[in-house]
Amino acid sequence: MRTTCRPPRGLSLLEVLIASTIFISVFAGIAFAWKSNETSVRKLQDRSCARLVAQLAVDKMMSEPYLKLWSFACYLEDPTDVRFNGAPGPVPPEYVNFLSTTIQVERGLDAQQFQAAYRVKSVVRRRPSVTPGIPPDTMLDLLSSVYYTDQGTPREYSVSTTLFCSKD
Amino acid sequence: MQARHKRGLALVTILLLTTLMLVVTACVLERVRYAARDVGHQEHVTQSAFVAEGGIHQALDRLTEDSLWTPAGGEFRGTPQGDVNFALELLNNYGGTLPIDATADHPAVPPGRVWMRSRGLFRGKAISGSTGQAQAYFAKPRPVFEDALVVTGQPAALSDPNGSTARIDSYDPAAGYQPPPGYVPRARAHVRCEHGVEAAGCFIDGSVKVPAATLPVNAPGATGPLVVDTTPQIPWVFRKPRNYPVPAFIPYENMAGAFAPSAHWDVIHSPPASPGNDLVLQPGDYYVHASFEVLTGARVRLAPSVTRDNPCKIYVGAQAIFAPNSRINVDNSDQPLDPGALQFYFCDGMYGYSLVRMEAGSIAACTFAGRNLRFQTVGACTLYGAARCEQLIRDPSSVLNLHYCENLGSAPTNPITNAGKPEWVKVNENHL
Repeated sequence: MRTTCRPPRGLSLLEVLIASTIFISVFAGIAFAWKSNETSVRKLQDRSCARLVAQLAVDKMMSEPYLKLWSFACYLEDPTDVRFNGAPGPVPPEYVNFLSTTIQVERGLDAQQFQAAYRVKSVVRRRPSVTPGIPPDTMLDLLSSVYYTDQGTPREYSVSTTLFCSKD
Repeated sequence: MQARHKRGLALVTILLLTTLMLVVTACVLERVRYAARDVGHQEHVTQSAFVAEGGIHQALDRLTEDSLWTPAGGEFRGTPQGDVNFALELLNNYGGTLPIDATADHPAVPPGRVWMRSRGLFRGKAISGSTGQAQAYFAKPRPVFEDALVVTGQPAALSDPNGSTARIDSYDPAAGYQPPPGYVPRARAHVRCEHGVEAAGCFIDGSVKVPAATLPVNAPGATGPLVVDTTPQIPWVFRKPRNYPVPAFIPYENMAGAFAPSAHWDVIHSPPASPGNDLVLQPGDYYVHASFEVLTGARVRLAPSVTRDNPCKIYVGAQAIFAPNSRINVDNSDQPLDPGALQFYFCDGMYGYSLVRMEAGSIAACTFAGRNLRFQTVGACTLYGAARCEQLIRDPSSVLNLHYCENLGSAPTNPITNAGKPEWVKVNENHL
């Protein structure tokens, strides 16, 4: 006895429609998340680069001889931008030095090349001595601030430390 | 039957596929979230690490003021820099003679050392792990000298306004320090006088310590910065205690009869370049009735066993003369320069004063102490050392140069530049 069967038909129209809807929805969500992820990764790279740039700037300052920190190749960018000993107002040039430069960083992200500008402002401030009445020339506060843009939003990352040199 | 089984397979497949994609995407997103947290953590770690390192420097500043300083409660916290701060633990065994045994909280601390551990804090919480911390041992090498010039009993007239000059400093601002090998530099030269200082045509790069009531006079013609330290203080109480004071002069009456029969001791060995012709001084006391003179080109060397702790003392009745291009303990290539190792003591019994005469090109690495001390220098010469006297006699025709950390350029000295190094230096743990 011979039995004839129709070819199996496992896919119904409704099934395909539902599957397609689910797939498209999930795919769209994943694509959106992936795009957000890429943006986040780019931001993270910006932040990481800013951190490294700030770290390098402070390291560079700390590697300078103590007395030569004053002759650091800096210029007074904005005397009213900082406070000296907690008092607002212009800072004497002999007390504060700035190093302002623009660093171009080439990054590779998903086979793309990005260039980001990091502006570094290095500040050297005299720190008051722990002993009243003694000229505050035994310690320096070193501050390095990195300014960059994060998707058009200006950002700042600062690293500071203190450098000591014996008076005698 | 088979067809019925295959119905719904597409939906199941899509569901499995999308589930797989969601899982993969969730993993990637979670990784990005973790990376974001890690980047933020690294930012805090970097800030905390530098602040923690700065905390050690702040502690060094306090230790310079007080070598036995220990923070109250054993912990020292700085001023918060935004959300970041440091907490520093310190064990000070600088004045101790026995080691501090190790515990679970700290390692052993040998005598003469200070152990510190500085932890970076973010919003009051310590950064976990080994990052954001700085731990080190510190030792304190002795400074070269307490003060470049100490004058008691009279105002110090460092220079005569009629053409003579005086220069007292400890460094070359352009080239940085060049201290003797093995010794940390002084940041400034200090002149200490009981009744004030008259400085005319004088370059003093440093401070002049005088009682607050008698300010020094910076007469017209002064070429250098004269930093007046008017900090109220008990006379002769050092702001920073030192271990190596300039030796006190010995009155003549205490030296009489102690001299050797020879009235003069002339060092005439030459040529100077031959080490075999050097006069080698050993630890101990030498007595010279009248003058100790190092003739032109001659060289005096100190035996390697002569150190500041085991010095060679030369008691001179009248004067010490260093002729042009003479050398004392400077061009030794086989031992480090130790200015405090050779000490000259003068008395004023013969001429009423003691004369230290240095002529062009001479270099002396020693200290001078006498009651009435007259410095007479001719031409450019360098003194590594210090002087202490009861009265300083100015010589109108002389040039007083007290350069005890001068940069000698191409002169035969060790080209060590310790610019920027703190007095307290980090010690390699392996050398403990």
